[in-house]
Amino acid sequence: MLILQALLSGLLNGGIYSLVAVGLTLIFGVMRIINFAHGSLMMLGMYVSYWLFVLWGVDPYLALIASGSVLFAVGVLIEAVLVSPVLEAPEHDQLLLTLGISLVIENLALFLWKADPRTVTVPYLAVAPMVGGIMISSPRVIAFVVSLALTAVLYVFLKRTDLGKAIRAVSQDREGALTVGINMRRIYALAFGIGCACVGVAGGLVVPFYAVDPYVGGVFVITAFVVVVLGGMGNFGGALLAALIVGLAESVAAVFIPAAMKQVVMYTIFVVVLLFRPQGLFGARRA
Amino acid sequence: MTSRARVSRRAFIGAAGTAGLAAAVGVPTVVRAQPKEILVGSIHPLTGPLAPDGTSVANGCQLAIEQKNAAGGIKSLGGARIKLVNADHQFKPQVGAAEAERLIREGAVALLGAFASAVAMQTSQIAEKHGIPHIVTVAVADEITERGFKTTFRVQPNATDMAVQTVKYVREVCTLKGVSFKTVAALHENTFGTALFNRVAKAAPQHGFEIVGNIPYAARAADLTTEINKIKAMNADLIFDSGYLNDGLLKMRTYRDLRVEPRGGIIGVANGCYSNPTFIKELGKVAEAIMDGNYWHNPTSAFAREVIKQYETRFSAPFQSHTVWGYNAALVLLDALERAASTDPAKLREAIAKTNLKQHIAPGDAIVFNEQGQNVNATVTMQQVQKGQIRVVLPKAYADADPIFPIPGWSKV
Repeated sequence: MLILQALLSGLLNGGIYSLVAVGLTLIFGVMRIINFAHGSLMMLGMYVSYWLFVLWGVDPYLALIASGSVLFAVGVLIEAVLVSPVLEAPEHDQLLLTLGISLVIENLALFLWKADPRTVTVPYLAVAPMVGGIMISSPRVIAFVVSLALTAVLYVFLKRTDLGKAIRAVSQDREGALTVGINMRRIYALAFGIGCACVGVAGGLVVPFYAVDPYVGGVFVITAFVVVVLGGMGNFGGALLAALIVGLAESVAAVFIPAAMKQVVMYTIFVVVLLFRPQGLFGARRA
Repeated sequence: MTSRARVSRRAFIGAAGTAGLAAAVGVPTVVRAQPKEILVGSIHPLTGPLAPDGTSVANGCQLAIEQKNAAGGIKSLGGARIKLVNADHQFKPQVGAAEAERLIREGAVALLGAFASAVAMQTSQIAEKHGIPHIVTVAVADEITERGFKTTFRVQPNATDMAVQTVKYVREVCTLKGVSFKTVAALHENTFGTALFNRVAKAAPQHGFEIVGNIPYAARAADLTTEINKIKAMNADLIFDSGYLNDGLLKMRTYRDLRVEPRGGIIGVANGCYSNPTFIKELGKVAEAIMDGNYWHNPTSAFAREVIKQYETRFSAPFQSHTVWGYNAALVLLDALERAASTDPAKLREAIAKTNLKQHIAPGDAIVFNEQGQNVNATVTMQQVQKGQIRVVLPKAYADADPIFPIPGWSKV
């Protein structure tokens, strides 16, 4: 029973990690920028959902549209004003920039909303159902399903639509893409916007079961960084699979070893994979 | 904050200089009319995630000092006024040490701090080096007063007090309600929580409890389902639970989802969540009837109730359980200044060591320090959430409600 519950929880957590990681890997794949502000952007998505619920009673799942749109806009703005000037700059400049953005967002949130954790209880999801001795955490199931669905939609968008193809073209060969007349600036803004929208929606999805505070982003995003590297930086499908693996490994490990050690398992897998497959588990091709 | 403190220090020196000059040229009335100002340093986290708590502790110190000034200052020093100089340690030990140095350099006669054991270890070391008294406001680690320092004093209960007294109260409440629980499962955060658990494990057998298992966890976990499921599988009479605020909210919702309803209930040990008003505000009925052995004000003292009222009017913010210790630490210092009739650090230190302060706002007898500087009468109380209010239920002398025990599970609240 313990192990079945752990498998379920692990899988569900993996779904959330995947949506966070997909946004991160998209931004990296297209722009070659590691977005250290990803966690604080997730936190912003959580607050959007929280305030819509508290101020106007908006259903947190309806509020996903708002979290996604607001974060898309924030992403496009950040890209246009702050990121695009450093696109050609050395990597450490880019790292410092995104780290700086994250500090500004975090401290702004701290100033505006204080450090107190805040929760949303969705009335119709108040108590999780028990099925055959296994607790089915409804908000986590919804988060899992929506995460996977969104990842699938995004995948189809990138594979099938002209715009999606243009984004992939830029990620594979910048100069080639320029030659065929793709508007790079627009693609960059779009990719950054979509990446932020993903993490915004992920934020909205966790609000019904995880308290929001200005530093909450790190809880999910540090794992997402591991997922992105494990899946092969910039690899879309890789990120999805790696997210599920990490989620399961964490949760199942906690059954057998002292629970506080479960992150050791995650990082051990991480180090071992990097030793033998430095390009990541699925790092051969890029989406 | 920094620059303002500097300016006022300069202004202070300037004023003193002018007064001295005035005295030299034969106008001594100026000196007598303006009693000197005594600087006291306060080092707390005023920015960052701990800012709301740190600010409330600093404000507790401020209130005690303002009340003293309003009542005529330190009478034995000719009505000298006290000025609290606030410094921000940002929850960083090295910043705390630097700020302690600065405050002492600027003339602080004593330090109050630091809200976080790691920082208090540093600030008290700096104070010891300079021979300046340091009264700990909030910092629970036993070691702070166990390093043989002469100038470090602590009013609040330390980690051992928290663990030992809580276990004792749990046995008392069992006896009181005629139930005989024995087995305990412990869920604790893996830093501060582990330190507490080690002390709980030592005290438990002395009160007839058997620890059947313990699960440490990392505070910033995305999910604690597996951990809490393991606790549930232990099927113990009671669950002892230590951790911080944010993880507490996650744990409590997971306990509910997994239908964890131990026969005796879930009891916090110095839990950062279960005696926190935010816990009740955020979780409502899920918080109901949860107990926590922790520090608290004395609800049976009219003096304490009056102080809380004044605090809330003065700062338009809720009085926290941490605030008690800012206020009490400042009270000890003011009382010692009065008795020492001097701001000389050595004399002040002697006066603090001889403290016997009956009028304070915490539960427990008079504040009296042992050789190490720890308050021997530091008293932990058992709190319980009752109808959305945090009540003290044990010991009887400080209780403002009867305990509800065994703690009913969510399905019965």
